[in-house]
Amino acid sequence: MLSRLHPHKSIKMEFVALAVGVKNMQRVTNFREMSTKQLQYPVQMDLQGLSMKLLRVAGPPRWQSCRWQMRKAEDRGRGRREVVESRDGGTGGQLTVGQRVVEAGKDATYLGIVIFGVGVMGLLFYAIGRELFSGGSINGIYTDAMKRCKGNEEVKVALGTPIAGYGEETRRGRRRHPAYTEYTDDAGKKHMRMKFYLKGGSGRRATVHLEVTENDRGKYDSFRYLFVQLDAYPHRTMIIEDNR
Amino acid sequence: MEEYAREPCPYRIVDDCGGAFTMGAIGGGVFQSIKGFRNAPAGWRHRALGSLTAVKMRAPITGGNFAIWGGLFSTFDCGMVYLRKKEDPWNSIASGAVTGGVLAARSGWAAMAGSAVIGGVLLALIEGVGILITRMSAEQFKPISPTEMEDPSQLPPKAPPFGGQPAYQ
Repeated sequence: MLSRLHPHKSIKMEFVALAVGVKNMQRVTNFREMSTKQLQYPVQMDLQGLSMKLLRVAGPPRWQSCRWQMRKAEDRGRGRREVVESRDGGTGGQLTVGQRVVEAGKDATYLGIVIFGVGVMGLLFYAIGRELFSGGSINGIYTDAMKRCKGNEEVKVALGTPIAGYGEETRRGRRRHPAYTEYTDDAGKKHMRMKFYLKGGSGRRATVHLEVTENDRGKYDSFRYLFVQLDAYPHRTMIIEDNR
Repeated sequence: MEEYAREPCPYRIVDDCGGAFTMGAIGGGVFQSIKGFRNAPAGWRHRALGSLTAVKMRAPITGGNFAIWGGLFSTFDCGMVYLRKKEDPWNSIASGAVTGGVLAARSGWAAMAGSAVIGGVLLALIEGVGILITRMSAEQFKPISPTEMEDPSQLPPKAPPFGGQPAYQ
């Protein structure tokens, strides 16, 4: 088996021979990807050292027959599968009433879980969609108010451009959500107050306070007031809108 | 006081990276300990050893993957904050999508698009949960009587409802 010229190649040869020799189909299929040249090469190198049997098994002409053997084995397996005894006790796949009740219960439980999951997903998507795409939502009002502040000349001069806006900072450094509170006035109309922050190009910071009232359709649409107050002394106030 | 004045942004990336690593390592540790336990040969000794080996081998990898995701996500989030000059849920959704896309960059355009969509939807869901939670917690702090809600003192006094001069000091 050992070649004087290519000792390392003979090892590969051994492996091929072993794989074919034991007729382990799984292992043979791995070797199918090996090119025929690779297979032939060690065989030719080690012709002297090989027994006739190994040559017959590992040689290229026999490779075809190996596949044929595999197919035969598959056929055998298929044939065997046909004679497997039925395991359901001869009822021919029919379930008893009790089993059917159990199955129906299982199906109902799984269906319930699926519906629950879909419902929760739907609720979440609805919440995020309403929040992001509707003008009367908290995020919509925040966006609107920020636009007004950024467009205001007095604020621009006081803070310096560009002006960045952010909400309340959480413990993890997120500032995506402004603080807000809702209340109902004596006339039964809903109001919402909101607070967020601005930071200008000069590094000066300011706080924005605003209140919105709902319209007849129950949607927040108009500012009752909107003003910007500088955070540093003398806490100058710039009123952008005051419709009280 | 310094804590409050500091901008969270560039530092947040490191925080998020570490937080994600911890989360991934703990979650991966729990998962791998169970998997290693089940896959080990019979016997308590083997099972315990298999569990321990699996945790030692795989949990840091899961943690590392999480850390990559978290760090990249936070980096993109900060980039969005810098570019858009605004902090809102869109930032995190967009950076989730970009992170998903970038991490799948080696698998081709189709895989990138798929990963980006998954990342965006996942972050949108997380944002949705956050919004629902803020909504619920805001309900608790609703003032009971409207008389509590005086107009802020920064504004000039309101004009009287019927005729007459406003009360100037």
